[in-house]
Amino acid sequence: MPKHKLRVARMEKVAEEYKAAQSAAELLQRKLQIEIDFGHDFGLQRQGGRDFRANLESTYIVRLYAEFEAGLRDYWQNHEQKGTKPGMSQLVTESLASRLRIPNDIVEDTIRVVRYRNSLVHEIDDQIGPDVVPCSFGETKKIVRTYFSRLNRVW
Amino acid sequence: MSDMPRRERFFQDIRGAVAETHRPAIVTSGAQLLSGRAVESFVQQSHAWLNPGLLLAYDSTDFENLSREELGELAESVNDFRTLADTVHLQSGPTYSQSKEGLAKLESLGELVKRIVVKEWQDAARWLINEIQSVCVDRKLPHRYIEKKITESLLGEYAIPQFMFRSKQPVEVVPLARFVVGACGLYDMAVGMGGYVASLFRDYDLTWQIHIDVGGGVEKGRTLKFDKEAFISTLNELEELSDA
Repeated sequence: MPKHKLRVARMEKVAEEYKAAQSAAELLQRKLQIEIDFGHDFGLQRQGGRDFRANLESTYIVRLYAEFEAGLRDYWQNHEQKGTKPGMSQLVTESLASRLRIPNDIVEDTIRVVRYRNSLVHEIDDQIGPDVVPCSFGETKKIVRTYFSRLNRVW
Repeated sequence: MSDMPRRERFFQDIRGAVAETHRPAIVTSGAQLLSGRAVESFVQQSHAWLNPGLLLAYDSTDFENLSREELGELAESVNDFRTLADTVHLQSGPTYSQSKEGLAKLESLGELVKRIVVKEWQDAARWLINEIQSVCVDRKLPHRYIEKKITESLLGEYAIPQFMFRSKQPVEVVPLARFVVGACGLYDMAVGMGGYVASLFRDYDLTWQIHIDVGGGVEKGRTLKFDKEAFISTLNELEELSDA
């Protein structure tokens, strides 16, 4: 399978897992409402169940982003044959965008995702900075797939 | 890749400033608008664009292709914005009323720039499509074009030609965007179903170029100045690859 297809398939797999996890979270919530000690065998605390549901979208955004980043770095290293390791913002806005002539709107949307993901991973007080605009999982998927579609598909 | 020319820098700066005013953080509900926090955030964000630096790349001599009326309108709008920006205190930033007035002036300047950019882009795109169409006519290839609707920040929704023809394989010449990193407009030329694509891009010197990269990274790809001969050779190459 060409690398491009393979990388896209990995992102799709995360999206499918997210749907499964959403369904599981829904079931868990219902179960916890009717069975007070559900999950006791696994040491599950009720708060853990609530947090699981509340953080599910962020968790999968971080996972999807990891696949996106791995795909871009693979492309940079193996298709463009570059030995440098630019940071993600630089890779997205300069290194790849100028070589591949990516539309500004796509680059700016992607930077929004980069900032939001960074805030999810690095902010410990749950306060997002003024430059950060939250993205849903659906938006994130659409944005990273659009950016990825500008990479050479025959790779 | 060459450096961005001053005229394009001016367009990009206005585009960036207008996009900043449309950032979701600023788009507030009626209730939020009434809250002090929304006002404070709006004023803070306006500091990024409401300053004379926004117009550093403006030079009236870059717009001599415009009609006298358009040129006058642009100069007036630039002066209006600059006059206001000059009154903003450098350290403390704009007041709420300066921000509000600045937004109106920026919107009116953005509207003028949008008109100029869209017209130039549509003309350039039509020239490109006419050249490709004449290749199709010479070679008796069935073809058609449609007006595609594209939406971009600053430019909003506009129509631009998309072209399809049948050579050995179906070929689509699809417009992507006017504002592109490293160029002043971009089309994709996709041949067959195999994912073989060449880029047709409008370079900073406003000439059309063709870039073909088939499996070796951008540096191993080739960029040719667009003419009918370069177009035909790129088409042949993509068709051979797609056949293989």
